[in-house]
Amino acid sequence: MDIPRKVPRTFLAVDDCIAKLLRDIIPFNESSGGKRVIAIQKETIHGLLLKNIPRPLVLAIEEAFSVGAQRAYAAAQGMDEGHLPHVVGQLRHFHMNEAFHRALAANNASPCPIRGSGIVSGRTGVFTLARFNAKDKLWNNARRSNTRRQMSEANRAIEPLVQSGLFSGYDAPADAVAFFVGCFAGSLRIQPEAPITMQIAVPDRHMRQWLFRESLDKFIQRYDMPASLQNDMARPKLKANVGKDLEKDGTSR
Amino acid sequence: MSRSGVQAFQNERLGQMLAARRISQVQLASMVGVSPATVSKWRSGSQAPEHDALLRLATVVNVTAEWFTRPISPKLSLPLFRSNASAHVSAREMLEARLTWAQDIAIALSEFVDYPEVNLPIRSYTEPEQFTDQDIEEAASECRELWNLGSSIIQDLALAAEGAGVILVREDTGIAQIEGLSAWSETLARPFILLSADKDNGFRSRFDLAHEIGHLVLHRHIERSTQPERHKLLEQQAHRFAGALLLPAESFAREVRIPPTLDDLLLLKRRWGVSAAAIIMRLHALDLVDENQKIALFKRRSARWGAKSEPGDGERTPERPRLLKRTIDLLVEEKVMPLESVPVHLGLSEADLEMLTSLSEGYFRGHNNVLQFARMKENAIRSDAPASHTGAVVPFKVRS
Repeated sequence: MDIPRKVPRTFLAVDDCIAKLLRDIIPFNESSGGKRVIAIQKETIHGLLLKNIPRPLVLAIEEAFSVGAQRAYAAAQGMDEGHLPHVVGQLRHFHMNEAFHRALAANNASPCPIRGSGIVSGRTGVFTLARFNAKDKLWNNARRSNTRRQMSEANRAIEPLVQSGLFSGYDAPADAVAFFVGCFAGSLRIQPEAPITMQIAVPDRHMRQWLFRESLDKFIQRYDMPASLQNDMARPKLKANVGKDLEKDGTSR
Repeated sequence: MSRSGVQAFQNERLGQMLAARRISQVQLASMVGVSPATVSKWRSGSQAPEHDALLRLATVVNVTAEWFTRPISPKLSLPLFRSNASAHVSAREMLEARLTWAQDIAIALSEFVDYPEVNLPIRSYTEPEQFTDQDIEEAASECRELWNLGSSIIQDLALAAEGAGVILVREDTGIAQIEGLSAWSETLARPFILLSADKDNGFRSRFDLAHEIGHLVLHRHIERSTQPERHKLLEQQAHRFAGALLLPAESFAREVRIPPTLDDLLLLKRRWGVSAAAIIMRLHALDLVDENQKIALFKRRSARWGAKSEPGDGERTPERPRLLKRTIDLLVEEKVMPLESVPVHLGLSEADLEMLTSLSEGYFRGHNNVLQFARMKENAIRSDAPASHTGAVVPFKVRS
């Protein structure tokens, strides 16, 4: 971009930024004869998740949550009613951690070792995966853990996929974090042996908002979808010389 | 051959015509006004019809006289029929002849156009016993992958098949016992499928198509046989393929509640575009219901809905073929061939062409006839119009 020599600094800075922005979002396209063409950003959070987390791993985690919750409830049977909800809650943590760890290990997602009540995490593609449980409607548990908050800081890199910044573009991230959340009813009277829903959630860098959140049921269906709507390939093509020959012969209508 | 007859007469064309129209030599003889023996001689090739007789013959069977002089195109591979045992031999011959005509049309049009490339996962087994269930599931899955269909619901299977180079015909055949047939054309090196439209059931027609694709993929190199057991095995394998293609294990199984109710199946039917009966068979094939559960479901199905139809059968419009229709449209639109010349070029009647290529009825008669809306005569407009063009000004009401 040509910049006049005598331009106040502030304007120069803004101008530089706009120039950078133009370079980032409107790349030079040689195939369009040198015109700048606006590139539509196609990457999405769910696209990134689908690309990095294999379907069998998601299915395994879904199963691990169900089985872990079931084991926890079974193990708590016989405890005093007075502290049964707490016992079930704690046992869910341990049993679901264990099942989660095995699901990660069996699907080559490099789980960290189980240690005390620490968070179990694994790695697949650019994503670090971890889990927590929460009440179905209220996810106030999520931010309680300092470790989870620190982990979420990595998602700064993928925030532009949801809200693109004016001065910073999106670059493919090297790190990101996704949580699998087991949502329970919050009362042992309602479905105590299994989560009400299971969700996959991607927090923002402060873990105050969710960049993406979806039930595992729906999320798994995304793997089944074709990359695009069904292509219409059932089209004949005129042979190269057909129309031209007729014109030369003068036999066309 | 008689010297006075039309020398270029192709006697095999007559046999094809008798089969396609499903009429006997005796019936044809009385229609043309000759003796049955004469028709027999025409058919055997020992005599050719005179010019006048050929014109009468062509008129009564509704083709051009010139069609009888066209060389016979190489035969399609022996087709596999999806039918029950009661299907009559003449019915099979009729469908085979119709499929051959479809091939003739496709060959004639291929002079001007290129069809989509054939893109099917072909298995090279020569005996049906060589296939395991796993092989069939894998073949169906490979087919989906090649056609870029993902593992969810297939929106339009006919579109996908034609996009993979299959020439598809769907027409009323008048033969309810035969749902479809498929064969390979050696001339075009591409497969053909003919589906019966008689039942007018979008769900069943979709499954019939998937079944025929199964034959094309699995049984191309398997020798045809009339042995009932072998035929049954081929049918079972094509059924398994159809189920796997339309209802892939990994995505379909997740959506099924076990044990299912018939109403669960109706919801799945709407969603996946497959009949409840076919879904029950698929659940059994996937070992999600055992033999007893399968029988119980079929019993309940019969008790609630009867044996022949299911609720919602009319909800899905049958998928229609497009490729041959589009080819003719293209030739006409690009002015390669005038509309009225298409039937002459292909030699068949307009009605036959419209049926075999899924063109709308009356396409060749009405395509260029642009209907004009009736317009009022100028005089009438003038006489009705007010003498002065100045309108009366209507004042707004003034609020008090």
